[in-house]
Amino acid sequence: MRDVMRPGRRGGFTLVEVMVALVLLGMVSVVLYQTLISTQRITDALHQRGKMQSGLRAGGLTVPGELQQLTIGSSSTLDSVTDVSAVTDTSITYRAMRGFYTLCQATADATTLTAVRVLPSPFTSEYRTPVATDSALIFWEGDTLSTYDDAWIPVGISGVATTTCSYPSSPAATMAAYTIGLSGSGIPSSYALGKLTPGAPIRTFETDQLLLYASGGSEWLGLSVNGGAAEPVLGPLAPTSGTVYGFQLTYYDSSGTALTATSANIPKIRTIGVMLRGVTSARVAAAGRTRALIYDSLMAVVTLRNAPRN
Amino acid sequence: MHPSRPSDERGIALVLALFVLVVIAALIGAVFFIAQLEVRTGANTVSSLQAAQAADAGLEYASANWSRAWAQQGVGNTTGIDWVQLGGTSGYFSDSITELNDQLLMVRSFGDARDGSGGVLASRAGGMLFKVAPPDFGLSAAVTVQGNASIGGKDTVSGYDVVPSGGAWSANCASLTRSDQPGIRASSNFSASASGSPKYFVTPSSSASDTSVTTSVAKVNGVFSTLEGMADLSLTTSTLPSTVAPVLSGHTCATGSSNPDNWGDPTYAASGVDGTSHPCASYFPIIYVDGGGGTVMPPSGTGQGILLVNGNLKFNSGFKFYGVVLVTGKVSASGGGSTGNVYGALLSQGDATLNGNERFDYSSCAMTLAAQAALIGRPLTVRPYIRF
Repeated sequence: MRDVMRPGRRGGFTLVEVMVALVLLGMVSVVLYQTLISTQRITDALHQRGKMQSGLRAGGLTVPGELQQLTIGSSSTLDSVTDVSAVTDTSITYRAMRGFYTLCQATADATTLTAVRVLPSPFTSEYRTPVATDSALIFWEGDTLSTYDDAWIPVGISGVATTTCSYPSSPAATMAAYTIGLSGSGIPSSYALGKLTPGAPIRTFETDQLLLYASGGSEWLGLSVNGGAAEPVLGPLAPTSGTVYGFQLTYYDSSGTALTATSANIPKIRTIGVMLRGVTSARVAAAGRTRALIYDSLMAVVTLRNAPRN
Repeated sequence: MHPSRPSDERGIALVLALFVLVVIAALIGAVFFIAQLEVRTGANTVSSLQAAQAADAGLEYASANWSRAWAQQGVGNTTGIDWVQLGGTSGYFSDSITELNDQLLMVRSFGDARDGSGGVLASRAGGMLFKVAPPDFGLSAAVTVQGNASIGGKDTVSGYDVVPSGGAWSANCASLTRSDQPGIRASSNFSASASGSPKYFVTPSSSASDTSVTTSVAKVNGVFSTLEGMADLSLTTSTLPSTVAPVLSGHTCATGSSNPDNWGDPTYAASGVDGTSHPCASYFPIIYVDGGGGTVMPPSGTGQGILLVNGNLKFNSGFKFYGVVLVTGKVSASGGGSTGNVYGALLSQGDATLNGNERFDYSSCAMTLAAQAALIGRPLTVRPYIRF
C-alpha cells in the first residue's frame, strides 16, 4: 500500500539504466549509419555498373548494325567500289548508307535522276533525304537473264530537289520523288543509259568514321560525319593501356585469319571484330572499404553481308 | 494497489527495430531493382538478337520458297507472307515482296521476338534485292555423275552440243553460242563395257575423277528445292502418268496440275489454230517426281522442261525429254526396246549404269530454254543486302 502511494518511483530510471540505454542507442546508430552508407554505395555501384553495361550492349548492337551492310569491292568490274576507305585498330572510315530509292523514270540525261524514296522501317532512323555532299550507287542492269554482269555505278550528288513523277507501277501512280543532280559528268559513258530501267535501286551514302577519341579526360567511341568533329556515341570507355583500347577493331579475311589494319589489307576484309571495353564514369564501392572504377567488355563479330563470297 | 503495467513503459526499441527493418527492406529492394534492371537489359539484348535472326530467316525463307507469281504481280505491287513462327521458338517473321521492275524484286523481312502471350519484345528488319534469272545448273556434259559411271549395251552418250531437230529448236537456238563438252563427267570412275556397242563422244569423251562435278552438284542442290517449290507438276510414282503428250484445251495449251500428262510439246506434235500454231511448244513445265525411296520409271512419250526426280531413275520406255533432268539418286538404263533420248543435260547424284538403248545428247540450247522458262529469284551477285 505504501508503494502505491509513491508515484514518483514508478516512471524513473536509474543513471545506470540511462547510460546503458545511451550506449545501446549509440551502437545501433553506428550500425544504422554504416548500413545506410553501405546501401548508398552498393546502389551507386550497381547503378554505375548497369549504366556502363547497358551502354556496352547498345554499342554491341548499333556498331555491327552500322557495319554489316558494307561492301568490299571485288576484283571484277561488277562492283569495284569498296565502302571501307581506311582502317586502324581504333577506327574505320566507310561509306554509310543513308537512303534507299528506286529510279522512277528512265533517264536520257547522264547527270539527272528522278528517284522515289523507299520508306525505311522504324529501325533505320538514320536514313534521310539525300544532300549535295552525299554519293550514290545506281544499279545498272546488264543481261536481263544473268546475274553476273550487273553493276552498281558510283556517282556523286550535286543537288537534290523535290518533284513528282508517274511511277511505272501497275496501275501507274503519281508519287513524290526527288530530282537528283549528279556531279561531274554523271553516269560514265561506258554504262548505257538504256540499261537504267525504272525500278532500279539507288543507294545514297555519306562518309562516316567510327573512332576512339579522347575528350574531357575520358575516351569515347565517336562518330565523325563527312570529316567533321567526332560526336560521342558511347562512353566513357576504358583508357588506353598499351595496345589495348576501349574501342578496338580486328579485321579478318574469309578464312578467319586476323589481318593487320592496313590499307593493303582492306580488300581482304570479310569480317570485323568489335571490342568495346567500358568503365564506370565514377569510382564506386569495391572490395573492402576501397572505391574503384569498374571495367567490363563486350565483343561482337560482324560479317560483311555484301562482301564478295570468297 | 497499482501493479506496474508494461504499456506504461517508455522506450525506442520498437521504433528502432522498425526503422532498421525498413532500411534493410529498402536495401534489399534496391538490390533487387538493380538486379532486375540488369536482367531486363540483358533480356532486351537477347530479344534484339532473336528478332534480327528471325528477320534473316525471313529472307532465307523467301529465297527457298520462291513463287513465280511474285515476279508477275505488277511493277510496284507488293505481296505479303504472313507471320511465320520459327519452330517453337520466340522468333517470328513476315515478308513483303515488292516487284521493282521486270527483273528486280525487293524482299523485306520483319522479325519479332515475342513473349509467351504474343507480346512483341523486340523487332528488326532486313531486306534483300533479288533478280529473277534462269537457274544456273553448272552442267557441261550430257551426263554428269556424282559417283561411278558405266556404259554398255546400245547406249550412246554424246557431248556434241546439238540443236534438237523438229519444233522451233533451230529458230530458238540460232542466237545461242554452242560449245561441245565431254559426253560423261564422273566424279569417280568411268568404265565402258566390252560387250555391246556403247558409244560416247567428244574429246574427252569421258572424264573420270572430274572435280567439276562437285561444283555442278553444289549449284544444282542450291536450286533444287526452290524448283521443287515452283513445280508445275508434283507427282509420285503412283500419280506419274504412263504416257505423256501435249494436251490442248481448244486452241490453248492445257497446263498445270490438272493436266499431269502434258509435259509440253518439243516436236510440234499438237497443232492449234488451222493446224499451224503449236500452243504447248512454249510450255516448259517443271516436273517433280517423288520416288518415295524407290525407283522412278519415266513415262513413254515426249516432254520438255525440267524434270526433278527425288530418288532413282530408270530408263526403259523410249522416253524422250528435252531440257534438264536432275536426279537425287542413281540413274540406270536397261532393255533394248524403244530408243529413248534426253536432249540437254542429266545429273545423277549417284552411280549411273547405262546399259540399254538410250541416247543422251548434250544440248546447251535445250538446257537454256528450259532454264529460261523457270526464272527464279536469286540475290544480286553484288550488294544484295539492305538494312531496313
